[in-house]
Amino acid sequence: MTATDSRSDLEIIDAINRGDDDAFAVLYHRHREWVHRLAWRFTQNQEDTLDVLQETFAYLARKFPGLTLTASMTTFLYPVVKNTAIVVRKRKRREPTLSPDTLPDRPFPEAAHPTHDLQILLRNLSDEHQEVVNLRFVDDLSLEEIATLLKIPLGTVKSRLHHALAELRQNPRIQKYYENI
Amino acid sequence: MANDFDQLPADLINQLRQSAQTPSSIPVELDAVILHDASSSISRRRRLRKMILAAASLSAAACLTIFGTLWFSAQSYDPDDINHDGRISIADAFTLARKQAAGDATITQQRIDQLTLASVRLDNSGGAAR
Repeated sequence: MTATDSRSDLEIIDAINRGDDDAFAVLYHRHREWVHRLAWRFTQNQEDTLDVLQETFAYLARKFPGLTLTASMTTFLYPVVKNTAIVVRKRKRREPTLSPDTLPDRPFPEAAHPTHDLQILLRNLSDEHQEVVNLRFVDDLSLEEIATLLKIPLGTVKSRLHHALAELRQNPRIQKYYENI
Repeated sequence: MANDFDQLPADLINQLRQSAQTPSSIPVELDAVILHDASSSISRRRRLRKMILAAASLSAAACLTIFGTLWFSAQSYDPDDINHDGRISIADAFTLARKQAAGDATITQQRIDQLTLASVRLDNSGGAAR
């Protein structure tokens, strides 16, 4: 039902609006991995990631019936995931599960210890530069899609990407990838 | 997009994608919870929408009925209230007489006389008895 469904997102949304509640599962299975990965990127914490995933799709469900998609589903979901991640992180800060004596300096222990070298390198970039690099190369979005999604001019996307890659390229660990071309 | 700012070596892109992977997958139980909650939410909102539509339709129908009744009652006059002023008086008899004088053959003298008598007959309230 889900993996083989050839309908576009727009057709599925139309089906849900017309009363086919099962079509929501198609939409969910199609986008859940991306939402999960994005939520992880923003929270760097497995529990928070799952909270964001759940709340993002709860938000999407509340838009039915009557949702009208004016851009791609990715463009619609990105700000939802981002804002939900911020809310979840703030909520967790207010509700510490550890005693004050044992609280870590940073709220997300995993975030302080990225498991991959490239993640460490990316974290040296500004948030804005990390964002465009991830959207362009990890999520494989076009520059136009990134501009729409971030609500910034196309020229700004190009500028941010240019500066981000220039900064990355100065790192010897990145340079080795260019030497292999 | 073959611009220098938009290109990375393929190996680096692959490594970036690997580095962005989440360390664990989505539990099947969570899938079920999310889909169940979504289904309930959509059904609830759909029911609510139907109720709102039904209530709006009923309100519109009630308004139409009330306004229709008021309009029809305003339009229905006593057959003897010729000038539609809400009461039977000698003015109605005069109006009828003028119409007859103007050539209206459907109005008989007997009808005018009846209306004249009815308009001058007094009831206890001092008005024309009807």
